[in-house]
Amino acid sequence: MDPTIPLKEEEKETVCKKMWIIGFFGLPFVWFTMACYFWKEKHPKIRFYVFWGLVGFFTELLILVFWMGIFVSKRDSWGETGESLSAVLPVGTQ
Amino acid sequence: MTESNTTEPLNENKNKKEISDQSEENKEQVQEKGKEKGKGKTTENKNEKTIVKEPKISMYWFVRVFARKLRNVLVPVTLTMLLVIVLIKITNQNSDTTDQFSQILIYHESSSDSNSKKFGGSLLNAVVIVGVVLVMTVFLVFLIKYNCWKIIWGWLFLSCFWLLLVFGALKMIDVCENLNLAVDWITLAFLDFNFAVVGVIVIFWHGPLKSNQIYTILMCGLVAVYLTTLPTWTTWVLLALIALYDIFVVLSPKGPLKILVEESMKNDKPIPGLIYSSIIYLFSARIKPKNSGSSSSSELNSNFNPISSPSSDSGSGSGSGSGSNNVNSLKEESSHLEKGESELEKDVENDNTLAEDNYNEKSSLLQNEERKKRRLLARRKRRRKKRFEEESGVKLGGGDLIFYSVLIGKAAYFDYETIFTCWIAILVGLAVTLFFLAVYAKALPALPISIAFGMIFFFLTKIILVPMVKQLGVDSVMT
Repeated sequence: MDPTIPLKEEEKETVCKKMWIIGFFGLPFVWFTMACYFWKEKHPKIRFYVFWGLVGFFTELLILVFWMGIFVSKRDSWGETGESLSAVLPVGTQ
Repeated sequence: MTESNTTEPLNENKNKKEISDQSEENKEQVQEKGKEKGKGKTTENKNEKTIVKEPKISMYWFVRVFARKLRNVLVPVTLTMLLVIVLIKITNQNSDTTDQFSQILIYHESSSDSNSKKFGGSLLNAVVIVGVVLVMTVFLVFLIKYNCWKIIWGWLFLSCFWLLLVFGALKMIDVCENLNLAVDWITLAFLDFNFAVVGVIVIFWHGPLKSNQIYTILMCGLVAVYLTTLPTWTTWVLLALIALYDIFVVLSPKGPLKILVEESMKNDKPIPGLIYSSIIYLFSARIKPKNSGSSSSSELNSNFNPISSPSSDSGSGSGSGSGSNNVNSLKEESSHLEKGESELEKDVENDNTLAEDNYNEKSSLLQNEERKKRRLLARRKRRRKKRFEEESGVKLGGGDLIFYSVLIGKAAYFDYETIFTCWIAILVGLAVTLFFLAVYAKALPALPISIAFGMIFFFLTKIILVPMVKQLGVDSVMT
């Protein structure tokens, strides 16, 4: 849709709800954009979606960061699994 | 309304509200705007709106609005170029990079060929590519004419999704390799999937305007980075040909792009896709769009459908990632290559009657611009003209962003000096194009002037400036 046309009031809730549902498919960044888009809204349902969407986003981000930390540090010691998991093999490490 | 000669061509196109705005502001601010020409006249006419002030008002207004529009356009262009340059430099792309285009190119460039052979071969390649682009544009026009909007949306949607997914992943892997980061498939797949889905949502559905702009820049940047892997001679000839093609397709009455824009205006259905929009709408009350083709509420200009790198199909259909070998013939490739056009289109206000009334009003109470604007707009609301009102804004097609960035990318292969000179040349070309846009007020091709300047400056820099700087360094005049 044309991005320069602002959303009408009645459409906002449906759009927010759809984004909320889409976010459950392993897409925390959709929740993040939903939060950015609907940040200033006062409608209680939208605020609910935005709030819990943000909570979900930060949780998943935390999980991602933990996993990356674990992977980066333990990759060498995992041997075979480590190598098969790596998309990129850095050069010059043992 | 005064129609002084200098403002005649400008007046028909301009946002008249702004002109009448200025008639009030001008009294206070005329002193500060010393840089305008003809300022001598205005000092005597402080307390009356007279004809004499007219040229000055338009000049001030023109410069101000023009500068704002220019800034709105220059920022995305510069950011796309920056993205392309960063990606190229990080991944150390240079002329030796294996090009993924060998399947679709008829002539494979090798350094042992003579110059004329290279030129002939590149011309052949470029003609073929532009031909495919033309075919796809015509195909798109047919789809629009027969109202197959579902097909168009689906095609563009899949195209962009595939592009973001595949090109994004490949570039991420390239960058991680060059920065020596260990990344695992899980994280990569997760981030890439998110990146692609959010991009598609924001472009084809609803999302914050900034995200839309950012994703347009990202998408055009990615396509440009892949296009710069074309062989050198082919790229330059392609750029020149695309500029000429752009002129033809936008300006000539039979041009597919013109038809495309008119059709989409007629049915009032914007073509989704890569257009960078920098417009802010003041009113969202839309009753009926004005039926004029390229003026008034019609901002919309073209679609730009990203060129899918032929070896990576960003489109419907078969095929896998870049470097794939399963698309052999050019015919198959053509189903993946699509390109729309690139043009700038201006938002035009046709409020011919408004300015006269404003001109006669006294506005002693309104001091600042905000309140004047609001009042003006409130007055306008009462009028019968109901349509979208736009602040200054320009829509830039994605093809422009891509080809400017391709030029810069090729310049980046060479040296930093060429990057800077080409950047300045392209921005100057863009400013000139915007000026013509202001004068002619219809969809204009944004490519030719900028690319012409860019190419001229690239070759001048390469042949003259760089050896000069090097020699000065050797002679210890300059480091």
